Amino acid sequence: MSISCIIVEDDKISALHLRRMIEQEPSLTLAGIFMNADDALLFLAQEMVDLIFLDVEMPDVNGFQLLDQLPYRPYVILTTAKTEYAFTAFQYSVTDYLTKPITLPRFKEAIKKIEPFIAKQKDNNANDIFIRADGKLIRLHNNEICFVEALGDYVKFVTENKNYLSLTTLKSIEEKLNDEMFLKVHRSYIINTKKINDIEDNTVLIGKHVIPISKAHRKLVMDRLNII
Amino acid sequence: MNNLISFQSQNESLQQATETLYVAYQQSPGIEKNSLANTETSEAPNGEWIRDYFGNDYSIAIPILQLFIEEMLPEIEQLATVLNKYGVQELRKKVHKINPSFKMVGQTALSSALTDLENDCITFEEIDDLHFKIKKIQTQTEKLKPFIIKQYNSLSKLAH
Repeated sequence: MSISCIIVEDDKISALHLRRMIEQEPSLTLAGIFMNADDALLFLAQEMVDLIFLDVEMPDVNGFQLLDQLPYRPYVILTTAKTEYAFTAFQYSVTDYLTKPITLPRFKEAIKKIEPFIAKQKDNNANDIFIRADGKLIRLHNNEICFVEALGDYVKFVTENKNYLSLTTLKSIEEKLNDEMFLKVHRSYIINTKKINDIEDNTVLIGKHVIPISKAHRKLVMDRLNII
Repeated sequence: MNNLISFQSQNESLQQATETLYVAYQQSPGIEKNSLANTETSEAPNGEWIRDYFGNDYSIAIPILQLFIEEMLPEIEQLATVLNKYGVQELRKKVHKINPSFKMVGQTALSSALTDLENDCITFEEIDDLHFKIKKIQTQTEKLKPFIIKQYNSLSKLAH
């Protein structure tokens, strides 16, 4: 299991020390080091991480204010020189609280503690994908998606309630979707086979949407579906 | 087997690093060893701090010590200026920020002195008291500076 993490820390020595400890931990992958909360927020609006090592006392925006502004909630290990933030940390449901300077045994203990939580979450999220749309990261469960359509440089995710446009390619989405549930029926369409209402000639009906099946994909579609 | 050899060799290196630190400490001028032994036992360079913060890989301590010398020691020189120019709250923030680094390089007595200063900034009564404590910390830091530099040089030599 690989746990992606970032460091948000305004002190260079503490950041370097954490970086070295993270690099020694095989389960951790460091995705970035940020010396202030604003830069970290910009990054987190675009990228998903599993874990944040977060300093509390930083200029301008402090660690708790950063948590208030996060578009999603990864696991958080607070790193601080003081214990007086423990109550607030509890209110923010942070996973652990490391007092600086962090000793190696205490760091390892925190990672050991967090690993099962993240493993469980990754397992639960296996059927979820995050897409960038409407200026944020949106979590879509595979079950929600009716079909996906390529539209130029964008991909449209059609769900029963809402459509989302995301700047990406159908190929990269195809790799992320559950391949037992989804099927490419046309170079511009991937459908959720659980959502099919009926198939007629060279088209599939999903809700009120009629989706073409290309000649190239027809045999594959027929082989995949349970046709008596 | 290879892992075992590597582990043993790491331990030997750590022991060597520890001994080097001890020799560097004994030879360092300007430090009253007896007074340190009495009042600042945690400063004794037995290398335990390396193991605590960096495990068996003492080489990690090298860039940390380098950053400490280049960036943290000058911060100590600036404390009085911060107090005069920006006030008690900014001094508290500054002290709070630099404090953990001192513990990380084994300077726990200085770290305690900084904690005292930070607490005094919160229960601030007399500015002269703050200046007095700053001066004391600066003097203590100046005394220990050659030793810290020697620590860095010794570890760097060992790594090469």
